[in-house]
Amino acid sequence: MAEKSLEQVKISIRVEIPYLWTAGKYLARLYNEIKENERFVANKCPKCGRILFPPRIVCGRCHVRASDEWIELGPRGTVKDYTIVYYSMKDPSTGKPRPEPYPHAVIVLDGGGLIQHYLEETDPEKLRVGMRVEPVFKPKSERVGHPTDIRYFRTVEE
Amino acid sequence: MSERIGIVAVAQTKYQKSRPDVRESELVYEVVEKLLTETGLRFTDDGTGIDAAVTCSHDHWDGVTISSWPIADVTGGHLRPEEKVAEDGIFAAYYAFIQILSGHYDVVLVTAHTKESQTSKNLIENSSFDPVYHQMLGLDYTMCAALQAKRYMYKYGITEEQCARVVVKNKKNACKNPNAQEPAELEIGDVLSSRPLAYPIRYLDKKPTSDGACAMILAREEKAKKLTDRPVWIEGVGSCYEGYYIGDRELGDCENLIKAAKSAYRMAGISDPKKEIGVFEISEEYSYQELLWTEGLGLCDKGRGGTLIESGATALDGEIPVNPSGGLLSGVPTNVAGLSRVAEAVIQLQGKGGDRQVSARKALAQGMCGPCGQLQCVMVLGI
Ligand SMILES: [Zn+2]
Repeated sequence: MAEKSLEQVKISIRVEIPYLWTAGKYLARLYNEIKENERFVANKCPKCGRILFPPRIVCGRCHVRASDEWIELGPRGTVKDYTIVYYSMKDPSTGKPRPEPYPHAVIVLDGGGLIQHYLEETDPEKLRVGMRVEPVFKPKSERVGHPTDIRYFRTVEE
Repeated sequence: MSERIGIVAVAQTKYQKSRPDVRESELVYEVVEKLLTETGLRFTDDGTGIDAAVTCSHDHWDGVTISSWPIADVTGGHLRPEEKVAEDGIFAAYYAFIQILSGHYDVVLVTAHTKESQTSKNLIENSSFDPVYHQMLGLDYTMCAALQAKRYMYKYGITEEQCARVVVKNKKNACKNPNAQEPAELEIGDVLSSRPLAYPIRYLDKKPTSDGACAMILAREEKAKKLTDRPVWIEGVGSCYEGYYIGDRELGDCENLIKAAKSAYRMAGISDPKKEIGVFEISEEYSYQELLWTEGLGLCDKGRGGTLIESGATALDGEIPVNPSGGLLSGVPTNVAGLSRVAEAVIQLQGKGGDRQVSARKALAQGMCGPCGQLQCVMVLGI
């Protein structure tokens, strides 16, 4: 006797869990500099001398506490790596989908330190490793103290 | 065991309701830096320092998958071994113990951290339930604990007053623990008149929200003896899981804890824990749990946990002090909970308990995870 097949049951749940993260004292210093002064700051490893950006408590390579010496980086930098994203990804800061395609890049700030951010230039023909860029900040009234206070990095001719 | 494994140093933050001043790495480095200073150890690859790290944290609690990345730098995880357990910190200690037993490493760092204040405990707990069944009923651990408390009371005649005694005892003990979050001198009536959360559990019957971290260093015997003149040996460990469905479990007894304890006692050669073990640091997220867990650990017969606390035996000056630290009811974060029990057991055996010091040569630490103590772990330590 043929058994009647059961209907599949699917359950849809939207899980929303609120978080209130703290940036800690090292990131807070960078975020305040972005918000107030459109500046990037980093701390350094006292042992190997490398720049810790974003700033943090310990140099993971040397296992020592970062020094209290702070330095300013950028704001201009050079594109080290990039990709062009062709699918829509939620922008966590707005909750809305980001218009695609958009470039996502790793930028070496002048003076050292790597920052990941968007590029204004979306034409693949005009993107290249080694291109010079500078940050475009939101107006001060819109800045909250976060990397999203930077709209993107735009190409500069030098 | 051919060679013993020892805990050579432990460190805890002061537990606090909220630590908005630090992020995870900064919180954990508070305890790691204390250990590095105390032992003189460094993270090395040549066998002269800390060989590896085992950490405990939870993706949902921290709001990131792979919740150990924010602490990789401060636990020596940069191009080195770092592994995470997500259930409770006592399992991180268990894992490190096994790593050393395997012969692979000599010295291992263990950490646990959680900042409960950064999200909602109820929602995090809710997400641990079956998404196609219980999650939509809005369950959390407090509701499950209430079902267990009621079952335990109904089955054995345990009273709300007896449960309230646990709160009074532990918060009073916490007054002697400088790391404790919420020490208090309470009367039974204060507990019974605190606001109801889920009958029969009231506000003061439940562990408060807490932020903090705990860390320790485990070492092979030969190295442990060089690192401290007071190593504490891990003599036995046992763990036991229980079924998921609350309805499948007999909540009024804790068969999984009974089995975990038996396993640890067998390994440690303990035949009468009440006589042979001098101090117990156990995980009571809710007041009734201390009574039920003392039964599971074999400190009294089933259903006699209430009578045991009434006798005064589990008080700071009793024969078998339970939670001289003030326990979880005085405020210790989830995940850190079990590891802090081990740390407090070590503190007692090293004679560093200050005003909360009791006399003991063996100690027991118990950790757990899941609703109603679904996963249990027992560790017996000795000097
Ligand atoms: Zn370095």
